[in-house]
Amino acid sequence: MSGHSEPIRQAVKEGRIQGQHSVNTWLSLLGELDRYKVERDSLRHRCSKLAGRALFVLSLMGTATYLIWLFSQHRHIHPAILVAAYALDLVLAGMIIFGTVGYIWLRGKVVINDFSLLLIPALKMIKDDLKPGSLIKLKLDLRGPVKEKILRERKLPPGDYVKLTETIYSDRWLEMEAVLVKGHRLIFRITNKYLKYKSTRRNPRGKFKFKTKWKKIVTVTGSIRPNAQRLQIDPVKLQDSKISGKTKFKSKKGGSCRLSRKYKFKPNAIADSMTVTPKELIGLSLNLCSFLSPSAPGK
Amino acid sequence: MKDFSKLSCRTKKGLLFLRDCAEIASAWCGRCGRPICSRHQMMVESLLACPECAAALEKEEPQDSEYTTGWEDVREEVYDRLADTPQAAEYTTQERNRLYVEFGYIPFFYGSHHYYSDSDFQTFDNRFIEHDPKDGPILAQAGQTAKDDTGDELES
Repeated sequence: MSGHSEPIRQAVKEGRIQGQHSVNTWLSLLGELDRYKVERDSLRHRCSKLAGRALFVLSLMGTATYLIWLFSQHRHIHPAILVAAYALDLVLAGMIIFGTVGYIWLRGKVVINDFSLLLIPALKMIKDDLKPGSLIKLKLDLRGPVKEKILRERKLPPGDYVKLTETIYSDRWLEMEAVLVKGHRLIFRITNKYLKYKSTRRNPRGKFKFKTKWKKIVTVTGSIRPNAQRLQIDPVKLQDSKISGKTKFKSKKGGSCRLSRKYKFKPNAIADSMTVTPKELIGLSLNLCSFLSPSAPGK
Repeated sequence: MKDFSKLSCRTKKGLLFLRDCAEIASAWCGRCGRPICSRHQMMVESLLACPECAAALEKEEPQDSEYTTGWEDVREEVYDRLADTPQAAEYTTQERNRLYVEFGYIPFFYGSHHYYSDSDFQTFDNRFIEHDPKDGPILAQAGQTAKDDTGDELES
């Protein structure tokens, strides 16, 4: 953490980052955040590995210590051997505690991966379309599905289960506004909706078993507000457009238009890799721009 | 020796809206003849080419596995490694052309050159060019029919 800049430390602490910066500054900040995430994930992995290995060795060492103790009850052994065995057990127990606490602590500092899979490549691709010297307004919430974002929590008819609970999280993690060349504006909003199903069932032995399933619905909304002096929404092109049925179009006042599309991910949708690809985002931008045509002269 | 000091690079940059690169040129493309800056010079089959011609030449040949890994791999594996190199420019051009085909997009062009490529065929034809008195350059989109002063469509 010491090697990271102040905005990144703040972003990790709060789970949010927002502001107006140039594309290069954003790419550098997000790149740093991405590196931080990779470091943290690797550290978390190492903590869990340490705890797991220490547990395995302790199980062997504990047995050995018990045997040594039993042996010492009947025969004389040097007390240093027993002390050394106890000390080793204590060290191993300390390693387990350290690894577990470290894992839990680092898990609390997790930031969602969507920005590095989606936003960074997309920014790189539209970098040359941005107005030189313009700033990108960006608001990122990287906390993922946390308590504050719970939209609804309810019990469902259990069916074969003992208990079935559905929790819905609504997470608008990205809001972006960029000024393109000639003053056109491109706006993106991405909302992740997480559906968490927690079920409890009883197995034939009478034990209670718990299972959690996640679904993720990503809604991408892109708007373009063209510079009216140069471009306008062309009704003919709108009619001829070949956008898929899954994409919703809305024309707005002031000559702008909006496209939105939902993407569903399941199962194990909480996994880091489950998000919209940059290609989809760029494709949406291309669809939006394809509705435009040059404004009538003198407008 | 040709003097490049007054020429700007005519390679197109951008994705949604194409523009001239406008860096100072230092060579000519051996295929289309446009002036190109040092960042956009590529050697393809011992020919100095612009990224667009290089992408077109690559398309004619079996592609290198590095360039066919798909968009998802752009993130670290390809794009970062090639950032700000001629290879990155060529890769971007290839990707750009693929996206235009896939999404049926015909790009707008804010520029000033007349070098033909698959995605800016309007630059072939002056009728598609709208001169802007303030910015000088051009605003046009392929597929649109230019109109004369009376609003009637011009003949091909």
